[in-house]
Amino acid sequence: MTLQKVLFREALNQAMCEEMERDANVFLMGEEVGEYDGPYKVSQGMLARFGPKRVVDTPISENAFCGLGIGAAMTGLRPIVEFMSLNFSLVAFDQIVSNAAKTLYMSGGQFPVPMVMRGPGGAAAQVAAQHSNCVESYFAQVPGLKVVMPSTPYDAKGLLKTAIRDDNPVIFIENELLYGVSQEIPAEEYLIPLGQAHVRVEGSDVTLIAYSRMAHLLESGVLPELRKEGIRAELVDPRTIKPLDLEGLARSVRKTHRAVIVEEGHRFCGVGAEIADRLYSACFDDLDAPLVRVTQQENPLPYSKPLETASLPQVADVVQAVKQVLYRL
Amino acid sequence: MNLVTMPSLSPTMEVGAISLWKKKVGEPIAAGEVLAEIETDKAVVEFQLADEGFVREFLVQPGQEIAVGTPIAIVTDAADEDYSAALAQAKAASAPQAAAPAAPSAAEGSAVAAQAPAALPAPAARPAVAQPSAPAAAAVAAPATAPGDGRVRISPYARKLAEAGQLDWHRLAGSGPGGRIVSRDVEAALAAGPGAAVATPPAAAPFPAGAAYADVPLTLMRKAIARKMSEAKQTVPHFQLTRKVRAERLLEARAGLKESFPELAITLNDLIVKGCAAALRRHPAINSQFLGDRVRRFSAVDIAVAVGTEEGLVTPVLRNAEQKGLAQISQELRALGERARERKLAPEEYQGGTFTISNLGMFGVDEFNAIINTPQACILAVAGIVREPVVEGDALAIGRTMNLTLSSDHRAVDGVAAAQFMETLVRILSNPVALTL
Repeated sequence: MTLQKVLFREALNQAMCEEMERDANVFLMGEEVGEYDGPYKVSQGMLARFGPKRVVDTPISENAFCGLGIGAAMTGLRPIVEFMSLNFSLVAFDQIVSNAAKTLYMSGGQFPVPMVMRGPGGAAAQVAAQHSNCVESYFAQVPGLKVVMPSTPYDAKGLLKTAIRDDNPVIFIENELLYGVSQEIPAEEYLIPLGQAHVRVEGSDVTLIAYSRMAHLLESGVLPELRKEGIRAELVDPRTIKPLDLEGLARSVRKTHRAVIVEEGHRFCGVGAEIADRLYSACFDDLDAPLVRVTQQENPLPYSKPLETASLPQVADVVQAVKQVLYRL
Repeated sequence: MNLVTMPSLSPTMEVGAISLWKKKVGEPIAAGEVLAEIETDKAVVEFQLADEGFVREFLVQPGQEIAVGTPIAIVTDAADEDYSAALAQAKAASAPQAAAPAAPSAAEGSAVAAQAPAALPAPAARPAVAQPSAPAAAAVAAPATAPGDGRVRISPYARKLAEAGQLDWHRLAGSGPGGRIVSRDVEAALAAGPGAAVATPPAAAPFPAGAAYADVPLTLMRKAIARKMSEAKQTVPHFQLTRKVRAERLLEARAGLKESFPELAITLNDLIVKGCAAALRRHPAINSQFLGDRVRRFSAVDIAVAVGTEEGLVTPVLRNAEQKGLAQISQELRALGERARERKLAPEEYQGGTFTISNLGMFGVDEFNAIINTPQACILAVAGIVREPVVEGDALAIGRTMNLTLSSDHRAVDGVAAAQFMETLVRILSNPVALTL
């Protein structure tokens, strides 16, 4: 196996390029994806490589071009629809929820919608209330949609390739602050199945469940703090929100007997609530403490840096939650 | 048909807890047979049923604090008698009498509330951490799960561990929030071996590595001690007098008795109790109780002796000490001490008393003040015997001395009376042949 060091954005680029090489039905569409090489340079060089028929710049009209993508998928193409930000997917919410997710069902199985809707989600650096939405829980609620949230370049590439080949609509949520993260990944082709959690760091004392940027926060910020106190935490990244690898998470919790579930989004009906519910059922007899969730505060995310920090999960919050489930508070 | 209620097993008993059901549901019970062991504020007492019948249903859980008079079990005359009416009556009766004033909704919701971070330290902590729903709701729900509603809380994993290890976890002390038994408690109990498996709460409470603290739930006895000591210290005007006793002859007396009558195993404490009895007989003002509107002086000297047990302090009473010889005093004190440590004292063995002695001499204490055992007027604090320089004539010598401190309730006893009693006591103990007077 040959390794190559790539940035997160480059891993996504490779995934799309490889799949477009592999399948002529795959194409990319979105705002600034062509001439500008992508708002976050994810599609860098793709227009030059694949031409304007397969790398399509759109007007600022998410509802329209998302609908266009759905129609294209219904007629046999495999569109990748890029939202400059998943916040703008809300403009296309009706298309996604009513059409992308439901057409296969409502057409009696006649029209699958094999498309990927991707872009950055969650908070970035002070982009304020309207541009910091964590939309994964919105979409995960809708039968017919899959939701994928990679945290590393390796996962991003392998999961995006699988998502493009999936015959269902997939919401693929990246993170602006992770685009510059680099990692050595295989130069050879590989795929990662959807619905498979990954143990990023093994441990025995407590299970930490986090995805996307929160997985980074835990690995780089929380785990070193815990190690100082002799706490060996296991960090598990579900990678796919839906389908959820319950067994992968439960295996870890049965080992450590306690878990902290961290998500960047809000608490109420959040992804962590779903995970906690399933873990309570799957691991009830193995739990030594109630599960604890760490989430964003119940307010629109402020622009102010101190308030933004105070609203989002921080290292100290997770450390405190870990001590709580370990009864060390 | 017999609705069995929580009996009053001591004059001060307001609540009790079933330690152990001695019968199973469905079993016949004969008149006079023990239905349950009940923990009161003072002891664990066997509760005998007066009538025969069949045990049909237990209405309370072991460990749960139950107000006196609350139905605890249903016993019927026939094995298959319908007792639904009694059950309804019991439920109606117990609802308002539950020892813990938890609202029914709070009790119902305790599974949810248990998730509430009862132990979260400060509201300053960011509420996004750990609270299941709105912070305000959690804050209201949490206290309802506090210890005192009598349920034994155990985490599912800890229960699984305990069952795998065949450990009876009902009497383990939980180190989790609200006294929840968690895996480390069970692991510690299993590691400590079978004897420790049903250890008493404080002994079983492990101190987890790195923990800033561990909360130990109050036992009924601890609560009783807390209440009584606070009341005495806050309401009784204590004053203290200390006398130093030359203890050479006391030590000689004990050595001599040991030489002549080793089987009696007379201790220094026996001699001190005997000395106090003799001194109290001559100072009835000290041998008294303060009863609010009067002081009651006693002809008999009933000496309560403080005994430290794992659960806490108990004070069994040696009756008519002034009439008893050393051998009898020694034998009775030993028996009372053993029963106190086993929590087998009958109520009449620890109630009453006209004077209390607290002896910490064996622990190397130089001098201390004891809190009065109300309503008694006085308590004597006995310190250890030490070697120290003493003045004999105009020379220094090495003597054996012991400090005695009398705490008196100034409402009943004045300084002169207390000093006179101490003078008599010092004379007796410094020259124990006076005990023959």
